[in-house]
Amino acid sequence: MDSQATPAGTGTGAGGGAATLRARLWARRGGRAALVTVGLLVLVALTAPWLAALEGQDPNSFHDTLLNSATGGSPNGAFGGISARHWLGVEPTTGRDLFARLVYGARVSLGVAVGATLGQLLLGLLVGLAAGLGGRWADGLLSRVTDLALALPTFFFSIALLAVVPQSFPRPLLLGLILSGLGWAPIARIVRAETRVLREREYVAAAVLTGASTWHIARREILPGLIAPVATYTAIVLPQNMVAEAGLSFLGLGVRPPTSSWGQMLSTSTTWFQVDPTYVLIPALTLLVCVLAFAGLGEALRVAFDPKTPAPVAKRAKREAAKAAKAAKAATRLPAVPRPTPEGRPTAGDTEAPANPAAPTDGATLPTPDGRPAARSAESTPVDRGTLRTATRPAPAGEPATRSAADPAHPAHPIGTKGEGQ
Amino acid sequence: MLRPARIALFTATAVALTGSLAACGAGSGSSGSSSDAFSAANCQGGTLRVLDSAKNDKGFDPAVLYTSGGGAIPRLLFRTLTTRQSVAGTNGTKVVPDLATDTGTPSQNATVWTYHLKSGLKFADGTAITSADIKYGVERSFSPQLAGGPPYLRDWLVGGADYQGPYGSGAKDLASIETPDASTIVFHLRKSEGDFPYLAAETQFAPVPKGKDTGKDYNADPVSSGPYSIAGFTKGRELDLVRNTHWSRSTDQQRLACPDRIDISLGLSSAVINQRLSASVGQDADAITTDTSLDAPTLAKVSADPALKKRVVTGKFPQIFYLAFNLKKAPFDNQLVREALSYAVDRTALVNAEGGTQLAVPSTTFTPESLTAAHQDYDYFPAGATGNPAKAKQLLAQAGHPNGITVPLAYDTDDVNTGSPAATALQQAFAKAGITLQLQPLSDADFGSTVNTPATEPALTLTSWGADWPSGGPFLTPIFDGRQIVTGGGNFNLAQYNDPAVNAQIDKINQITDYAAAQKQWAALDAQLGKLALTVPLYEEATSVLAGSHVKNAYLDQWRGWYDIASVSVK
Repeated sequence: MDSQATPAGTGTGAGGGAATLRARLWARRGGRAALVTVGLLVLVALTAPWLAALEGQDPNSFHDTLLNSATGGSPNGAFGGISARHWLGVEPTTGRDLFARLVYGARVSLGVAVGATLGQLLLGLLVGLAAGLGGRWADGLLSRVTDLALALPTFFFSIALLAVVPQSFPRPLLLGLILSGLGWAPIARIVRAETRVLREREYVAAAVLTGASTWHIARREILPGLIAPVATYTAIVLPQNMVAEAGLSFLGLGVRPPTSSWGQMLSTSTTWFQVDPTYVLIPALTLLVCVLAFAGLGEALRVAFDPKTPAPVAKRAKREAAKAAKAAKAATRLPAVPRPTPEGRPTAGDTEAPANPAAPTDGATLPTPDGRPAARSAESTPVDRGTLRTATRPAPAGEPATRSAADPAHPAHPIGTKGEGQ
Repeated sequence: MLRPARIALFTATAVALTGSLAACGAGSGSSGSSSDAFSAANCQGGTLRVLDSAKNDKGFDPAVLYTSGGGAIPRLLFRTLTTRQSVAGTNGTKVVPDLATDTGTPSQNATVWTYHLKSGLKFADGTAITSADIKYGVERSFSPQLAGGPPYLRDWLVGGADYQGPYGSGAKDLASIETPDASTIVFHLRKSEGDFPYLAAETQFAPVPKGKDTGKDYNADPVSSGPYSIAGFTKGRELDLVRNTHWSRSTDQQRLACPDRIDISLGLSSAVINQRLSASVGQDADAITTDTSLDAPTLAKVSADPALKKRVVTGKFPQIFYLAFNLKKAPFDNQLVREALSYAVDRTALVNAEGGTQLAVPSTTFTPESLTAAHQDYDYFPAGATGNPAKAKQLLAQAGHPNGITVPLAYDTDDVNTGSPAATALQQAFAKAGITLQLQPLSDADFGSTVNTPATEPALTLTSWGADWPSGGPFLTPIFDGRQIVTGGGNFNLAQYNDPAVNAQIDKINQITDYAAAQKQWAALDAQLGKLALTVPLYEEATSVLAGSHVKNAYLDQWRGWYDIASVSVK
């Protein structure tokens, strides 16, 4: 880690990191499908009013004439009254347009899930970082609180809380608050564990020596290293929150009528499954596809962050800074060449790791022997920690510049005994 | 968070699937009921199964039960001074003698009512039923530890307001109930009540032997005076009835008591009940329900299946669903605004939201059509089938609200699963007339305490009202009698309307002991009050119920709109 390489390590900056991640996600069929589906769902939620207008309907208008009042108010026509004017049919007993309700429902379902996940993330990061960086007492206390939160039967707690809070409180906000207030503990645990590993790193020790504040260390030294596990976990938690919202709405504790959400649509439709199966299938399949897509995205993210996975491009470090010029310079000096790992995959073991980040600026994607998109970098996230470290401050004198190919997750040589324990 | 949600979903699905499989099996198997006709003389035998959603956690204490005309199951255990006539149709709203020889002899302007007991009446333990047992049964219902019955006795009987029941040291009997001999009982009322024979059909008038009274524990195994007695009872789960051998048809003209046994399953979900009844497999062929109406989806399924359709029984309980205005709160102190809402109502959407024409019937009158004798047709603010928003807007402008109004709508939504389809339907229709409804759902417990306390009553409430017996008196008096405004809670005069002239009119009608004549007066009073737009009548409920394929003589009595369980046969 010579000082020259240090700026190069951050050369591609955050943009380059995101681009690489995208490329790595895109490289796998599952990740691609998940990304496209999630993107579509978000688009649908954002454009709900225009989509409904395109159909010429709105989610709340009743259509008496489309129902047969003598048979329990079931829709006229086949497949729940699907027609050119009502693309997914109409709701029994009201005649409300199901397509419009579905696209508007996406706003609630996705909104609550995303909001709750962000809330969980924020709380989990704060508590986890505080526990990980705090002293013995702080850690002990926060960890016990986390254990307690983990032990709570969260679903029953949410039911109780939702029932107690006055009906006038905005329901989507309440759902988000309750889900995040009760679901932050797993993230806090992960963050704490990772933080405890990272804080033993020499670059953190160096930061401490230079007199950086705890807040600075948390933000600049630790947080970047947490991105991979936390991002992956987030993508796994999000569909769980979506299902939780659906479950609570299913039990009638979700949004209030006439607002629609997928869980609520599912709830009102279940009794109709024999007479009007379309009515049940629409929210059920949507929910299924959505949860699958997010789960797929989570898996793809995990794989993409995993240093053992071959990457389509060599890459970057994910910090700010970094002048492109220096990066280019470093790149010319040290072309990225993937090296076979002991497993036979081309991967991280580049002794000149800090140089690698420069490679992606050239857009180089090197085919691997097994035909996969290759050039898995030294800069998989854990490696980033290494680059990061060098980027932030000079490495302590005498630190070996070589990284262990066998342990790409923790390429930096630990000062203590803890570092290698993944 | 994830797992319990999944479990909830999966359980629901599993139940639904089981139901669907069962239903598939039934579609072809059970085609209608047995062909041989029903004969009352030859209907005895077999075991009737009853699938109920009620849990009957409180058991069957005749003092505590709040039932209209004796209720379904209580009617099998308790005989009362009078009872409802066991026939289908409008005649089912007639009151007839039960333990007594007639429906009561009024004197002193209907303030004194005298009854004579039939001879040969016996409890299930073989002892004779005397007038003292009936007096004791009524007295028990005044005891604070057995609260729950209808309020009329306390209101009507002389000294009833202060009487605390027969329990405890120094407890006295109620002097306004006289028992000059073992077969005569006389009630002294503090005011004229021509409807007393109807009240005498409530379970509070069932005989209770003083020596067998166990107070609060009496509800688990009451001494039967009806055709069946309790063989086994697990509260919330199961109730098994066997014949009371001391009961005889010779003294009871209203109960046929055909089955030898009646096995009642309690606390089932309504979806399960409807699935089992439509499947009608095995023992369920001999099953009925006393409390679960068909829901809209089952109705849709039944409509498509002629064999199932044959097993649907329909009837009506006189109950009106209506919008109640609080006249003490703006903007409903203004009659023009109240009329505007009356014009804006879309009754077709409301009926559909409740499950279509087989489950709800639009009504423009407060006293619904099913309360035939007390019904007079009127429609002062014709909204047509789907509402007249233009007229409503015009009235609002006239009332000084050219840009429309925003009002909260309170409603009871313990059935949180579906929210309230009716409230949503109202919101949708009112929006067209520039009336923005803010939905304010209240849980069952909150609803009662909030809405029925004048101090906290919302401006606008979606609620319903049913009669304790088929008469205009109990239908109109609690809603429109200004003296019935209860400030402490339990108020049903939601308009808080108090017109001394109307109050006097009510007193006058209460003195009429001729049923038909009195009902005509009630009907006229309803039509007169309708002009003031104190409420917006919306729809009345209809009942559609399924019966198992072997069940015979199942009909809904019009007193309560439910199966008359004492007439059903499974032979």
